[in-house]
Order: sequence, then structure tokens, then C-alpha cells
Amino acid sequence: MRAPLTLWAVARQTFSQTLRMKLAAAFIVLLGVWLAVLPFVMKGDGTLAGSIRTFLSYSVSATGVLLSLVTVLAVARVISSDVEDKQIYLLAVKPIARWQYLLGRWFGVLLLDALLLAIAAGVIYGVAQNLRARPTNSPLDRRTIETEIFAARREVKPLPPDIDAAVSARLAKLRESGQLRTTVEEYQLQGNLTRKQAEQRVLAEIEKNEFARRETAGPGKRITWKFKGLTLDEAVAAARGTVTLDARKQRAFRVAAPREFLGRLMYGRPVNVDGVRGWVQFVGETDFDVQFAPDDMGRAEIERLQKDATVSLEAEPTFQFRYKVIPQGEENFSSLYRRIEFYSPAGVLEGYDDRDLSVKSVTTLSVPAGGSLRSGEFRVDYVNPYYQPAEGPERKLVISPEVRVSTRDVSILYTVGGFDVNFLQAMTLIFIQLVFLAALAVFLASFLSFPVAAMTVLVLLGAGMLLGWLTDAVKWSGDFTNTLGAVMLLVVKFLMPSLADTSPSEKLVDGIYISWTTVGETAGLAIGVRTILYLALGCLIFQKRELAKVQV
Amino acid sequence: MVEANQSVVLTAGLTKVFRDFWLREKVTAVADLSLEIRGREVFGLLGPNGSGKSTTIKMILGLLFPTRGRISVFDRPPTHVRAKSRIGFLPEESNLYPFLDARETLDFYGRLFHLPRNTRRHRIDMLLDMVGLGAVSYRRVGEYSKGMQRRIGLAQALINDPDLLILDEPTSGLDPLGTRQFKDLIRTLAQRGKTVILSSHLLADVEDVCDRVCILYGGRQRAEGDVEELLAQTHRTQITTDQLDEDTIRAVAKMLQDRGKELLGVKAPRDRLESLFLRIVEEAQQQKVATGGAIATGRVAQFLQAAEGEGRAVIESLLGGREEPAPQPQATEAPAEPEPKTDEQVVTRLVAGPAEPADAPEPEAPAEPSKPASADRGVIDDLLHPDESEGGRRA
Repeated sequence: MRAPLTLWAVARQTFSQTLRMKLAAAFIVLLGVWLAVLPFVMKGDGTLAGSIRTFLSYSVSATGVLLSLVTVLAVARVISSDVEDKQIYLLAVKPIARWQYLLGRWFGVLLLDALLLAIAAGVIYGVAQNLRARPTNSPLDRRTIETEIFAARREVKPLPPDIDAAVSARLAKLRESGQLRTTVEEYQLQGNLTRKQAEQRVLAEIEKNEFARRETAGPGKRITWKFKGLTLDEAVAAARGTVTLDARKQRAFRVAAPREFLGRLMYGRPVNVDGVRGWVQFVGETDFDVQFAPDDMGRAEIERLQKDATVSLEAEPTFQFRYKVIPQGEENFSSLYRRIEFYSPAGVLEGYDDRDLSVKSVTTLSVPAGGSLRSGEFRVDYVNPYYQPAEGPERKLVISPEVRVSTRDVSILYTVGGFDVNFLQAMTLIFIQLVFLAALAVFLASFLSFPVAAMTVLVLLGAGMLLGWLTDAVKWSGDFTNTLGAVMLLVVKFLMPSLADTSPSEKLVDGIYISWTTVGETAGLAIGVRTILYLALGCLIFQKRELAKVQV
Repeated sequence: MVEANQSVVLTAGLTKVFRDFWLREKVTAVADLSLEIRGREVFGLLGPNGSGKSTTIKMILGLLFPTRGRISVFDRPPTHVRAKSRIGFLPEESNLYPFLDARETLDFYGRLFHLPRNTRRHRIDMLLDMVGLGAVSYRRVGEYSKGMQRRIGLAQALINDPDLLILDEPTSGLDPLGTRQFKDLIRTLAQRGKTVILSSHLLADVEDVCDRVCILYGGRQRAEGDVEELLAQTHRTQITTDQLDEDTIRAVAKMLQDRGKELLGVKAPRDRLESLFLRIVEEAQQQKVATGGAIATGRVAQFLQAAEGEGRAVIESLLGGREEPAPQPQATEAPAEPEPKTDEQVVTRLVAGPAEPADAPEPEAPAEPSKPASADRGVIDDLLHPDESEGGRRA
């Protein structure tokens, strides 16, 4: 009944202790130095969007790393120094249960974390908004900033290609020709495997080949992906604007609008002004031009449009298609011509013929989501032309290379929320990680000395960060000959949640929506269960521990 | 409140064996110790260094777990929160948080006892006043000298008005004045019905305050009993008179010889160094010599003398005939005003630095309690209550 009071007393004391340990000051100074040095080390691609992305990425991950260190060091320090410097003698004889002491310490450090995270988040948010308000003379740059960074987008991956039929066909063919048996026997000899293992390896290889075949296209061929479950209706952008120029005779008006709205406009695409559809002409930093059809000019809504009139604006939703193309073969292509086609169940809706300048890195294509593209199901094709158009002084026509677009790198993104909420959710994710780390440190400090406990948490933290990578490494090494490694991986997997999966900085930089569901799942399953487990174990150990030392 | 014949701490066959990392038995720190410490007594644990005093105390406090045997405090296991809420403990070393100031330290421990804010503030003021650190209460404990840290240690041990006070080497690091106040405090608490356990190898201190002692050697109990009984020399008689000349002494010797007794020794009694020291310090205070360091009032905090909320009459009737001339400073100091208010006013005025010219140099002056203390307090007391500065010293 009175446990909360006791917990609160210890937490308060821990908070002021950690503040006076100057850990907080060190955190603020280090983060400050990091943010100050950042502009000098930031290379970026010269665009404002690039700078903002770099800033967000570095500052958010630096905050996460520094706060993790602060948490681990603070928890390990306050608990083990109590035992080593015997302050626990005075604490343990007060009417406080040992679990109350440990939880109070844990909670106190979390209070410090909350304060520091709030400060860091405030600074990062402020700087990011400040960068966003800077002028850029490229509408494309502005569009990237508004639709790909200061947005919360849902990412939809294509459905995995259906290869079952193709694989069985290939297997049947191999069996018929007798090749299957010889290959299996060969594998058995080579890898010292059982028959079953060898067969599985052959099957895996066929599947791998089949997947690769679906992801590559020779000259004149195409790669196809299917998407399902899109709900683009939510992505309509609305704002209020002011008419700044009335060029009625040209059927055109200039309208000042907020930056985040301007970022969503595309040249030649429809925009609704007071409910009347016009077409976007020029898009600037503070305003855009809209032109109406002759038929619409007589409408009452347009009659009303004159200088300083306030209007309601609506832009059609857009989405982004993202992929990464890698040319195969010896020849080096820095850019590739290609066509991307978007199909509704009824037929082609949009096609983009374009030179792809970012070969081997991610390309993002903004696509207006008109008509039936808005929702449901559709298909996207990457069309590799026969020839690459002539280029350079020789103006030589070349045959297109075979290209590969990995399904892993393909996605469709569309806006479902705002940056502010997403930012808040990203910070919440960081905080959840800190909650977990603090619990882990409590557990270890309940029986280890400061340096040992701190070092152990840091090693586990590293393993947790690399967990995804480690898992992949073991998986792709094929066979589990390295049993020790596999066992170690299982142990780490049991001890640690995969922290990289829940790292918010990448998502924030990409403007990927971090849903409360994500946050909840992270908090509840991966981290919450372990947090409770570690706290309970720590309390149990501390309960059984003799807090005084041998002094005879 | 604990009755006099009720046992507060009970140990049976208490044994503590320390093992090394490989679980090999290294030392038997306490062997088969059976003690019963009853309510309202001052119990002394005596013994040379390494005789198991501290280990015994740590087991009573639940900081160590016994290897064998049983132990109960207020009829509960020592780690029970209910038992612990009635205990005050002053460890051998200070073990305080160096980054907290005196006031924050006491506030923190007060919170752990769930004392309401007002009670906490009231008690902290009184305790700081009692241990003479009111003027330096906003300095960090880490900057205090050892003696001053002991004083804060004592204050924190008393914050919950404990029924059982456990003191490990309580007078180490204290100046004679502090030692004397400590002993007075222990007696006062005992009169109020508290139980006190103290361990020490300063035998004079133990002899002055303890009702019962247990002497340990090598973890085993060598002697246990009433101090008066243990020390009484029933086969000898000591007579103290005015100064005698040679003739009279010879006559007395002859008279004794006639009755078959022998005169074993004649000498002028010496003053105890403690009494001499205290007298000199008192004289210095009367001459208003300035000093830095702790300024102890020698008064026992009011809440330790009378249960809060209860009338003095109730306490007195409870204490009954055992009441010696107990220190009641506030009663003698300002009889015209209601008690708690007076005390608070005095304390507030004393603590509120700037109003007091004598307090002003305190924060910079490195406080050194090993020097004779209390001169400042003497000055202040004189300023505030010209005719009562003596009354406060009676405790």
C-alpha cells in the first residue's frame, strides 16, 4: 500500500544522484558537440532534403546511443556503489523491501532518461523544423522534404512471387533427365551430408534460382510485382491558401499556400480550389499557379477568386514507388533508361519513361494516385528496353544490360500521418529501449560490480544491435556446422530483443510511419516481457544477497 | 512502546561462518551466540577488534544472514519491513551520500519512513539543532569532517523516533563534548523506554551508559550480565572525605588495624579528564570565545523526549519514578509560550542564517568539530534568551 511512496523516495534520490554524477551534463555536452560538428562532416548530396536526412539520422541515433550509455552506466553505478561504499547499510535497514529499492533505482534512472530525451527531442525537432523552413530553389527538393521526410508513410511490400509451380516443373524435368540423382549424390560427397540434407540443398538452390529469375530482366523483358491492401484515400492533402495574383484573363491565379501543401503538388496535375478542379502550373517556395478550364470560368466559386481571398485547397494523393536497379554484367552503367508501368486491374494507368540516374542506389518515383489506383490491388512493371538511347560524343546505341531489381528493395509508400506524431512515436521507441536496458542493468548490477555489470550490458547491447545481421550471417552460411556459433546466437536471442528492428532513426529519416501498433508490439512482446523478467530476476537475486561484507 | 520485560532482540545459537569463493570455511565470526535483549535496556556488546561485534549487529539488522541459529527482532525476521520501521541504526562508518546536503539526507531517510512532510521538516530542524549542524545544513555531507558526518549519521538514526537504536562504535570520531552529549542522549532515550544496543571497545563509554553488557572474544560469549553486578567489588569499601592531614590518616589506619582491617591506599582523588575538559569548554563558552565547526546545543530533540501529540503529563506518568532530572529545555526556556511553537520559533531563528550575525562566517569557515565547540551557540543563546543559555546546557 505504501510501496509507491518508498519507490518514489528512492527514485527521487536516484534522479538527483545521477544528475549530480554529471552524467546528464556529459550527455548534453556530447550531444551538443556532436550536433555542432555534424554540419562539417555531413556530405549529403547537396540538397536540402539530403541535409535534413543526414541531420535526423545522425542526431536521433546519437541520442539513442548516448542515452543507452547514460542509462547503463547510471544504473550499474548507483546500485553497485551503494553496496561497495556501504550506503546500502543505511538503506537496507530502513523499512524498505529490497525489490522496492531496486525498482526505485530503475525508475529514478528512467526519470533522468525522460528528462534528457525530452531535451534532446526538443532540440532535434527544433533544428529539423528550422532546416525545413530554409529556402530551396528546387521544387523536387521541396517535394522530397514534404512528402518523404516530414511525413509518416506506410510502406507496402510486394507480394512474394509464386514460384511453386515453376519449382515443381524444374524438379520434374531434372528427375526425368536423371540429373537430380547425380547432383544429390555429388552434394552428398562434397559436403559429407545425408541424402535428405543434400536433397534439401538442391531444392533450396532451385528456389533461389527461381527467385533470382523473377527479379532479373534481359533486354526487352520486364519484372513484375503485385501489391495488395493499399488505402491511398487517406493520403488526400488539404490546406487553406490565399490568392495573391488574379490573372483572370489567362484563366490563371497565383495562390499562396503552406509549404507542406506545396510539397505535394505536381506540375500538370489537378488541384481543387474551393471545390473547382484546376491544373497546377508553376510551383514555387511560397505559392503556386493554378489554371482553370474555360468551361469552369463562369462558376460562382471562381468569380469569388480575387486578390487576398482565402480559399480551401485539396491536392490529389500521391504515393512513392521505390526500387533499386542493379545492372548485371561487366559493363558499367551510371544511368539506365527504363519504363515503369502501373496497372490497375483494368489496364495501364500511368507509365514513366525516364532515365534512372541513381543506378545501384534507391530510386524514388512520386506517382499521383488518381482514379482506381487509389486503393485495393495493382501491379507494377519495370520494363527494360532493348536499347539504351544514344549518349556521349559517339552517340552509340547500346543494347541494354540484364538488370536485377531485388524484391527486397521494392516498396510502395503513401502518407498516412504527420511528422509530429511520428517523431513522438520514434522518441517513445527510444524510451522503450532505455526502459529495457535499465532493467537489464538492474539485473546485472544486482550481483556484479560496476565495471563488470556495465561491460556486460554494453556487450549484450552490441549483440542486440547486430542481432539481425548475426542471424542473417548464420542463416546464409548455409549449414550449421558452426554449432557453437548457433548456440551462442540462440542464447543472445533469448537474452536480447533485436534492437535494430526497433531502431527508429531509419524510419524517421525515411518518413516511415511508426504506428502505435509497432510501438505496442515492441513494448509488449520483444522488450516488455524481457524487462519484467530481468527486473524480477534482479529482485530475487538481491533478496538473497548478503549486503554486508566479511570483516573479521 | 515496548515493555521492560519484553524481548526486543532474541538470538538462539547464532553462528556465522564466512566461506571463501570455493565455499571453504574460513572464519567463524560468531559462534553459538544466544542473547536476549529486553525492552528499555541499554545493552553493550564488548570485545576486542575482530571479536564478532559488528557481525552480530549486521545479523540483527539483516545485512548478513546467519549460517546457523535463529534471530528475531520485534518477533519478526530482521529483514521484515515492519521490524525495520522501528529500528534506528548508526553504522561504524558514516555511509552517507556525499552529494546530498544534511537536510536532503535527513529528508530522504524520513521519506523512507513515510513521515508526512510537516513532521519531516519539524524533526529535521530539531535533529539538526540537536547535533549542532543547523547552521551548515545546506552544505554537502561529503564536505563534512568525520565528526560532523557522525552527527548526521546519528540524526538519521533518530529520524523515525525508533524503539530500538543500534549503535556500532558510536563515539568513534566524536570530540569529548560530542561523546558526552551522546551518552546523555542514550540515557534520555532509555528513560523514554527505548532499547539501545551499542558495540564499543571504549570501555569508559560502555560503563557510563549500559545496563547490561556481553563480552565477546573470538565470536564466543565470554561474560554477560548487569554492569553494576559485574563491576561491584563486594570485598572492599571506599570512603571519600575532606582533605586529611598525616596525623588523621595515621589515626584512621590505627583504628582500622584495631578492628582487624588494613588500610590499602590513601590518595587525593583525581578529576576525570572528561570532566576537566567539559568544564574548560563551558568556561570558554561563558567568555564567548568564537569557534568554527559544529555548535551543539546539547539539547535532545523534543520529539525524542515526548511522543508527538501526547501531553507531557502522560509521558511523565508513563516514565513514573524513573524520571531523573530529565532535560526539558523548552520548558525552562520559555514557560510563557506553548511548547512546540517555542521550539519551532527558536529553531527557525537559529537556522535562518542571515539574521544572526554570529552565524554569518559559518559557511566559509571550515568546520572542525574536534576543536572546542559551542561558543557561537553560547553567543546566540545569550542574545536570544539572556537568562537561559545555561538551561539549554543542562541536558
